[in-house]
Amino acid sequence: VARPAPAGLASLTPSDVTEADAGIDAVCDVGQVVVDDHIHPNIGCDATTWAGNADGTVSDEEVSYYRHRVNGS
Amino acid sequence: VITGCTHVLPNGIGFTDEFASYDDGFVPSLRRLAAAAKSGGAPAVLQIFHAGNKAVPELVPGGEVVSASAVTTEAGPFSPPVTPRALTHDEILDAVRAFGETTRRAIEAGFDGIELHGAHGFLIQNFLSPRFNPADRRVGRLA
Repeated sequence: VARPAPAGLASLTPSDVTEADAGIDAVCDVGQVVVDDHIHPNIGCDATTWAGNADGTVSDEEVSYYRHRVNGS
Repeated sequence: VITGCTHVLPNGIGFTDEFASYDDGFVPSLRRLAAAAKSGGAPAVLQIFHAGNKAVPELVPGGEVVSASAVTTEAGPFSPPVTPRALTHDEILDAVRAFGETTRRAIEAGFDGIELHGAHGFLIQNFLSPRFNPADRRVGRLA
């Protein structure tokens, strides 16, 4: 169902739902999905991630994740 | 570094827990994201969008999904089939203005640019689509 994600994304969990129909290639360990080599942080199997808080502000987890990724880890 | 998408109007939200950018009150929030995205030294770009007929009904005001026309959609992985309400001429202008206002907020927040997200069947693509913006429904409206 799922294809491997681009290099650098660890602990991949193959999608076992209907993501393939949507063109989603893989789901990674932080609930993100990979479509055509693009990471989509806002969608997951249950369409629920940690990008924003209930009031629409950016979540602490999102900010931490960006700092983690843009610094090469 | 290009961010995940953020909706420029309250009725443009396409995913649960998506961060917002439709009001000046979100500038401090966007500023935190811009600082994090730029912390590795690369420029940061805010991806802005309106989900159009793929907005999630239970997340938009009044459960009313809007699009270029009232053509019924098929179910997607994150949205049910809906018959959206066609935007009026003035609402189309408001949506264009909302993209501009969010761009201003992105600049104020410290982003280096914005990306107009017009893929995946969201609002911009709704207008480009002959299926969801059929020619016979464009009379008196922006195409």
